[in-house]
Amino acid sequence: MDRGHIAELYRSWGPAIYRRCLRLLRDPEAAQDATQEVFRKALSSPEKLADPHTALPFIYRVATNHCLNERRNAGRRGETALMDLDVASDHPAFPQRRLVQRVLSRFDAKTQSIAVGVLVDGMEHEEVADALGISRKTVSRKLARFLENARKYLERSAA
Amino acid sequence: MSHPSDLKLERHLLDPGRSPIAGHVAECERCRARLAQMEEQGETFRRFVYPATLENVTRRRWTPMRALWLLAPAAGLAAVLLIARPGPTSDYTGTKGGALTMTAYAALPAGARTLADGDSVPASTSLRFRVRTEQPCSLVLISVDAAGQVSRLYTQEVRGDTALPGGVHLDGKGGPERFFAVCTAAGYDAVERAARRIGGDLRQNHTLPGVQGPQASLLIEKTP
Repeated sequence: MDRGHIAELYRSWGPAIYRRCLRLLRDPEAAQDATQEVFRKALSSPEKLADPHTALPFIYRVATNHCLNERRNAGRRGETALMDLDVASDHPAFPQRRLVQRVLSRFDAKTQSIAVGVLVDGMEHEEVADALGISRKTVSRKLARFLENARKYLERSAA
Repeated sequence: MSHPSDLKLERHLLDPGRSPIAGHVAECERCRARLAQMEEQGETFRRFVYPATLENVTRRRWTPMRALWLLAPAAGLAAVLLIARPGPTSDYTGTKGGALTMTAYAALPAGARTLADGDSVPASTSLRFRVRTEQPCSLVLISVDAAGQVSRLYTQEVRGDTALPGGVHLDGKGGPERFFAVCTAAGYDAVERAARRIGGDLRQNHTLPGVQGPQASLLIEKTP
């Protein structure tokens, strides 16, 4: 792929990547760095970027995975500025207003993506399943496990 | 009332005319506000992130540019630091000992090179910046080109010796461009207003008039 074509794809999809990274990292500098990395990762599947129907969920998935990984790494470095995410809407099984990193970090990468999709982004289970390329059943199962274990962890922390 | 997710709003931005959530958006103040915020973030990407990162994302992975950047600090130690203002001037109100220095590195085919004031570089070169200040500093780093166009490059808190993240990709147009680094509590808008006042007279103007705080600047001659 020549540089001109790459630049064109970057101009098309960069804004969506940047917005996603800004949403998850909450820091413009970190989001700028992450945007470059996410786009370079996405370039490994140019056919997905070329099709507008597949590009958006694809870059959402790559950006979410990358940025959640960045958050985990930042937590390991003791950088807490990026940490907590606002919960988008009331969820009966998750009454907290914020999804704190110390809870999120206790789960595997896929479960984190699902929890962020439902609780932070306010997505329906089916939309999360489509965006992450997994079954709706997996979303429900992993989310239920997340909610149960997060509740227990928060209760233990409060005690 | 449930609201569309960001992913649905992203789809809406791609084609508002055929968006299945257009009806909801028309009725929902919250979603319109979120869309406006997303458009603003997209504009930030196009104006600042895209030009600053394009070189990185289009570069072939095997090109050893990262290694060159790793060498840049060492090259900087051997080179003369750019100190645009060796001593306080009439508009200097910074703390004593809190002077600001700025070093710029250009990624050239022959390797990373530290730039001196007035150096010529190809007009599409990528630059990286390092600043040094003894006091905590609210840094504003901007550039002004021959047409008087002001570009916001960095606004961040720095202290000590700091390599600024990412890089700056020159716009490909020939002519002079001066980079101003300022430690100021006055904020970006005040710095931008001062930059607009000097217009395109860059070779003679080493400082931004009326901006309080230590400053450093660097002139680059871009060759088409």
